[in-house]
Amino acid sequence: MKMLTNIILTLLFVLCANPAWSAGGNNHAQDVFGKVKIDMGNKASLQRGAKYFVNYCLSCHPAQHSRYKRVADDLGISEDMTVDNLIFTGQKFADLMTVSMRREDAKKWFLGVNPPDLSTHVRAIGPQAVYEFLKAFYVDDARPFGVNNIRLPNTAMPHVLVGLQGQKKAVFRMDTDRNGREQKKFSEFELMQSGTLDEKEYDQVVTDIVGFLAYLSEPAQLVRKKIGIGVLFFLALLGVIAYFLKLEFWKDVH
Amino acid sequence: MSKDNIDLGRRKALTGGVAVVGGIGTAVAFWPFVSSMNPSAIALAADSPVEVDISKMQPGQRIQEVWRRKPVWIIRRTPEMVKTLANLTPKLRDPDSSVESQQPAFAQNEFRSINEEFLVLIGICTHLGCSPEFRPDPGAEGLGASWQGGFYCACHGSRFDLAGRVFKNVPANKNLEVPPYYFLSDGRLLIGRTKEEASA
Amino acid sequence: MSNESQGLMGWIDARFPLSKMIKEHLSEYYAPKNFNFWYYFGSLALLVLVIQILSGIFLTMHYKPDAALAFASVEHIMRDVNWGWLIRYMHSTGASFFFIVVYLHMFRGLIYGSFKNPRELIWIFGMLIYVALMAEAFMGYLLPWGNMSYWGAQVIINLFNTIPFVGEAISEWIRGDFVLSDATLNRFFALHVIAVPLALLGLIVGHILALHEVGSNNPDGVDIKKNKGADGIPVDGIPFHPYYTVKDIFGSVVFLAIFAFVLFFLPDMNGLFLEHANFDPANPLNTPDLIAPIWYFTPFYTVLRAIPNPFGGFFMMGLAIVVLFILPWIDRNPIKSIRYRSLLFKINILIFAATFIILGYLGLKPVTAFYSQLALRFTELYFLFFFVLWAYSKTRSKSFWIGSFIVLLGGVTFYDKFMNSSGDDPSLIWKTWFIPAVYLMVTLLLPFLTKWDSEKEVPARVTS
Repeated sequence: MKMLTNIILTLLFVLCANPAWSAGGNNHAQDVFGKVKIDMGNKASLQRGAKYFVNYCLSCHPAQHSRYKRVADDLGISEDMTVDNLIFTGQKFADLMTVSMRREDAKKWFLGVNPPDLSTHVRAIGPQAVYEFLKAFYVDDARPFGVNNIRLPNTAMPHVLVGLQGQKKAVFRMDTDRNGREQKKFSEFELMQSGTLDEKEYDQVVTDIVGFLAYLSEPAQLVRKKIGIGVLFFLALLGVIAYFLKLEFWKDVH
Repeated sequence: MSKDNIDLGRRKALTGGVAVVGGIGTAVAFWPFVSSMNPSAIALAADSPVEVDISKMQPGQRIQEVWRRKPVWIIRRTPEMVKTLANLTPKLRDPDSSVESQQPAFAQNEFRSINEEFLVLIGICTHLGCSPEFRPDPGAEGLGASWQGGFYCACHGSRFDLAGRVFKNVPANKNLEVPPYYFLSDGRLLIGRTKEEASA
Repeated sequence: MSNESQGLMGWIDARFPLSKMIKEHLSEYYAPKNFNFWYYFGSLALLVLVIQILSGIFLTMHYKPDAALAFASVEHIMRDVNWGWLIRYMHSTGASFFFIVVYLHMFRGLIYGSFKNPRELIWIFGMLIYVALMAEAFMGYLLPWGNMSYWGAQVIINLFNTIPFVGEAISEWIRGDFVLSDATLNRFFALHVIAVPLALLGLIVGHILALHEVGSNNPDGVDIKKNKGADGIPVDGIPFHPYYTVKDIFGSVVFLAIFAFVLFFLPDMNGLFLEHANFDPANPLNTPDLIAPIWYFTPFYTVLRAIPNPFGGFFMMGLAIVVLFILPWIDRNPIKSIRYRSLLFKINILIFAATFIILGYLGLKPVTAFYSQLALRFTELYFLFFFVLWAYSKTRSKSFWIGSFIVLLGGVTFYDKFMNSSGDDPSLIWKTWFIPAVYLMVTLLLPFLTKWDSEKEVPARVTS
């Protein structure tokens, strides 16, 4: 019976630990764009991310479940700093981070798509996807905003960070797939006109934004692991006493 | 089963240990549940200060605002109204506003206000929380000939003068509360913060 | 009675059988002394129930069952309510752990024959609890009103559409609308927070009363009541309190540590406990790329998907659950515990456990030709298991084994020939055909080809 128990527990463990179940998975894109490195302990990066977020994203993307006050408290930004530098909509410190743009207008401007709310969306698609998306814009005159995106082809979103990143051209090559059909495959980017930042600086900006969005999608993550460690230590202590209590009583039985 | 050689002392100590440590753990585990019933960030968001334009108020007029979801009254008292305050002292329970919780320090005066013309009050009776009526006319109907104007709570008959001070022998025993506020400029009032809090 | 209670206890006992109940169910309930690891899960299920009810009550204080507000109210709990995130994760982690515990508890019953005479009713109460729990979990999953909540419920409710003639009327009645809507959310909320929990509590009381009437089984499957001492107490029995209370306290602490680890460090378990797509609000215009139910439903979901006929799939899925109800009348072997059953029985159980896990895994995967074939094969194994279980109830003749082998493998092959299609790659059919074939060879031919069907003698007293 021991054996059966062990086998089943092992099976359960293997299934739970199966990496194929984790979000994202491995793909070609990661080689091109690199892997995003988010550090929730890096307050400076999160603060910069908050600044970029309200400057570049919040005019169209709401974060309607999040409050300025919570962000400011969590990231260590004072009320005055927040009101002066992060709130552009005349809202109050404790208000939700909504946008003033009407949803119907947004839909009209962005080809029938409503810019998704960013308070939880990053948790749905994963930070890596956003990281790659923000680095995957290229010039394409066939699109209404003059840009297209490798990670999300024909996206309705303009390249709001183009001033920082600069304009890029995408180089495609023809590739034959397994069934012998010809396919256009992305091969690399070429810089057409540089922006105000070099590539490394731009990566840092994107990392800051993605890190902030990852924080925003679950603010509790800043504290939950710390509390968890305390809880586990307590349960370990209780477990030891409970174990000796069990041994003591069970002396009667054998 | 054998009940020989039982070390009762050890058994008791371990039982006590599990009971105490487990009890502490259970008590601590209850805290998040209890705490979750406290006002949430939504309720706290209502704590934001409110700006009011008082430049167009007529003498004797009252306007109502909402701060922390409570009614807040702003009354522009006429000179006659202000005069009534001085001679009411013997009839009042707390004429000098000695109960500190009922007003910020700046309103601990005869007028219970920064500026004797403008009275700012939270419009909730200090008895059981009804919102009193504003009865500014002396000798108003049903309130007796000696009524000089003030607030009357119809729920249980509490009476307050035109500075929100409570009369003797009514159910309420504290003056109406004055919220923190200050003048942003001559015609603009900010309710919800004192000047010191706002500049801190 | 010599030990009549005094003081407050005496006052109560004269009016309410408190001392009597404590004795009957705790201090003088004699449980076999040889419970092992598998016997923790009953009390752990009760612990998870308490966690779910407690966290559920507090979630209800902040949640809004309104299609326009539900998603935002969950985020309000996660952000604005003090400790709301902890209470929410407690409830979501608790749901998954409830099923982990219940599945292990049921498996314990399966291997030690705890469903056999005289415990059939305990098993049936248990199965009713399991079905109520599935309903509870399914309706609870709609409440966050995320995109996976929405489309998952959409798909499952539409299963009723496949019932001939009345299907559409039934699914409209369940939804209260032509599509999944506010009306559905509101009624699921009512059922989730009060109706099903009440039924669950009643069933659990029945489950425990029935257990305490006949007494607990044990890993040896020996009836301890057959060996009573002079005092009328089973020689191999020990009072539940204090011996199993202290043991279960220890087990509960270990369990809570694992629970807390998941809650604080992996609350979404990489998308298994909280599916990623559910962090986007419900969008009736946009189905997530992959609709997978939450993990504890996936074994049955795979059965559903394995059958290409809509009603057939629904029927087989229902049958996969119904067949568990009649387990006491399938496995009729008088030996209860796996310890004394044949090697082939052990192999059969092991394959079944693996089959269940593989079916669960396949339910999380997209539909490809290969996965569809695997789903079909393991669905076949799932049902064949019960036939083999029945066949192992007693000694059978050689012709029985050969006959049933031919009939069953013939049936599988017949299905492959006339009803199974595998899209672009027909070779997948015969490549996976060997799975049921080998299974049937092992379980139906080895009994007369080897001595692996020999059973051991059950001891008179419990071991260890």
